[in-house]
Amino acid sequence: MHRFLLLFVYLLSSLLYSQDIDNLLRLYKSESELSKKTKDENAGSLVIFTRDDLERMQVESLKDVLKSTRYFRYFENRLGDPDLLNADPTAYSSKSIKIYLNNTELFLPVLGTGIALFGNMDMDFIDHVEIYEGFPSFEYAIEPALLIIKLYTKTPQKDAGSRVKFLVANHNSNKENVYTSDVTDNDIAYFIYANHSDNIQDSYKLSDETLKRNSHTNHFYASLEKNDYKLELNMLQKRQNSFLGELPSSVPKESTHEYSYINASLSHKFLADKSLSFQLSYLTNYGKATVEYTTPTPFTHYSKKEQDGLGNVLTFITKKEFTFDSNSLILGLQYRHKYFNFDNVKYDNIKDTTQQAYNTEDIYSLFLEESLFLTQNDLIGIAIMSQYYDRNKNMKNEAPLQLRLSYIKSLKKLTSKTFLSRQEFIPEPYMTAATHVGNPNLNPEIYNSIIQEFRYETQRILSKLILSYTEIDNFLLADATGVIQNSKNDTNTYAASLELEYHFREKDKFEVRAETLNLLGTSANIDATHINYIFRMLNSISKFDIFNEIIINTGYSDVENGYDYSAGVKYALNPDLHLSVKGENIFNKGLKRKYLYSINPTTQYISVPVIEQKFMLSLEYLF
Amino acid sequence: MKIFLILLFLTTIIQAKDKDLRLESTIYYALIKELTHSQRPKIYLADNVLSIQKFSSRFNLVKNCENANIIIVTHIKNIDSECKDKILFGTKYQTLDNKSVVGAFFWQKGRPNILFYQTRLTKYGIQLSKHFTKYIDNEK
Repeated sequence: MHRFLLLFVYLLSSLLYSQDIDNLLRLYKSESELSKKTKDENAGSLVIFTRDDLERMQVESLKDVLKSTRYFRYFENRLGDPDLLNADPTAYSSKSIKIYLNNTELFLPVLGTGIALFGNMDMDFIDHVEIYEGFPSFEYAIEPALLIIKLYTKTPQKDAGSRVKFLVANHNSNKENVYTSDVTDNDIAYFIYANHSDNIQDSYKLSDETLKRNSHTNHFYASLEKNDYKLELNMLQKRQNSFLGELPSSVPKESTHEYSYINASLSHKFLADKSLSFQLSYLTNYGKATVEYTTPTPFTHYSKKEQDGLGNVLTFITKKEFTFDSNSLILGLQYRHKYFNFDNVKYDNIKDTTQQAYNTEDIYSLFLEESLFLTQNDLIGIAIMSQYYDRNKNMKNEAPLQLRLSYIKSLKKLTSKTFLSRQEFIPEPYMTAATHVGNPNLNPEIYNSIIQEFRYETQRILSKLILSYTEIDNFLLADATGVIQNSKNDTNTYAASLELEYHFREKDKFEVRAETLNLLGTSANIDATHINYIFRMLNSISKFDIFNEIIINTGYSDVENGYDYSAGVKYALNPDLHLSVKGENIFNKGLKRKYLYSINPTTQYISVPVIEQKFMLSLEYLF
Repeated sequence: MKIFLILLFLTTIIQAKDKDLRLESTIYYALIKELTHSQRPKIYLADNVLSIQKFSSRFNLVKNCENANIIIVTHIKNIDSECKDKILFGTKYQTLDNKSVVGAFFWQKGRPNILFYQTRLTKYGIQLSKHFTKYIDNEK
């Protein structure tokens, strides 16, 4: 009997020990998530999509993340470009949303943001996403921002090896990509990624024309690191149908837009404590838009418009952090030179001689950010950024001032974060310099805001209550002729979000969020009360990862209410081979955006899904 | 059973700070202990291994590789010739290219991996317990 008991104890301990090594590895993998190293809870109100989240949610495109960002929703403008704050027929509205790949800003100098090009980019080389809402730390942005999306790439240190992936979806949409990375014996770390994707969507018959929203993308990213030097190269080529084109009065026969974007950056950290850093970044982008109409357009009287655009940007950033016993100070200097040329326009093959108001902009920024620990649990942050915008030709210069004050109180499980900020947004070139619709006399928009976040966290529960109020002076809106104007009266927003994240069993997670954003302006076009609910469940059972998400959205201007139910299952045939199926907007009940296509004799709209119903099958293999 | 209790204890006392490094150190301890059959193994670090250096209380770190039970290595070139007969354990997959390295604990394909080669274990007369069988591979 004793022998059986001893054998039983031995077998049990063997089993437990074996499982313990496995559990340790699983726990170690989870605790080694890169997001735990890069996130900065003190920098702003933060939403994180960890690598585990992205993998189990089968995030294929950045829009899969942006469609459920707190207060913001994924929208596209009438040209089919991602534009989260879209207010049709205004051509573009998301200039205050900034996107970064590691520490390099992705952006188009004409628009002041990279969302239009990268808002639906492929995500297979991305490790995790951090979204800072409100006005985050100046460390994160060279220009003021309402929302900063930070994408962190996978690292050679963790992802040594290679991976190929194939995806097919309805309408013959497809995506193929490969990455390979390693750290060599000489400690040179490299990561190389290449992607091709064809995103084919429904086409729409309207006024005897066929409107398309298809896009074809090639993307390449590479990084090289050694001894705290990092060199990155990011290239994207995209060709897309521009759906309705920019005119709200006509339906095009054909509309296309081609983009090419190349960005290289070099960064280094100096000193033993790596407290001094610099980054030099250069980007060049080219775009060509063509739109053709069957008959000459009313008001503008042309049948074909061709426009070339070129932009070059050089950015230099240096920062020094001084650390003392109870405080730290960051001193930063940033310089950015922008060149943009988008007045090369032909109407019916005849070159338009109108010139843009200016074509260069030099931005000088100096910031100082102090973090002071009053006690171990009380942190005060004070930040000030002085900027100078120097434009050529006769364009007026600007000298905005950005201010930020924060107070963070941490108790055992409860954290309170308060952020007060004042920021000035200088209108971007597409608003000021554009021929015909640009308004060089625009004044900066001024945002004064307060955000209060309460956060309660236990081992299994994370809950948040976030309240915010923003006053906007000189709000920018298009007038009846399409020219951007400063609103004469204040525009205010009130927002609240209540969130719960519940972790159960080993890896299962349930998230629920209810949020509202109330936008009150002087123009009837922008008054709105958005109310959204998000429910998300991530389960891992045996070799299956299961994802379910419902996003319910109501109250958007010129948008039909809807709910988007998406779900997916990922099956690990073995640790290196994964087969996935996913449905997006499965019941085809998601938000539908109304776009204006006729204003005479009556206004008429076409309504199309923001995110179309889509079913995907993918296979990935690691080797 | 004792090892299990130690591991369980070590796992439960893990604090929030540097949790990943603490866990990495714990895993190294379990692996090295299994290879050396020593409760407090004498180890020599041929290269920096932050987790072991930072959480070193369970290890007996020696400054001379000749006094070590085992050598943890990232770059084979950093091992003195007189110590190449010691048990070598790698922190990178590439270290396994050297036939003297019995196994490695490394990140690859986005996940942590443990790998031992049976022939190399046999060469050093190392018999791993059954719990590690799934981490042992036959060299091609």
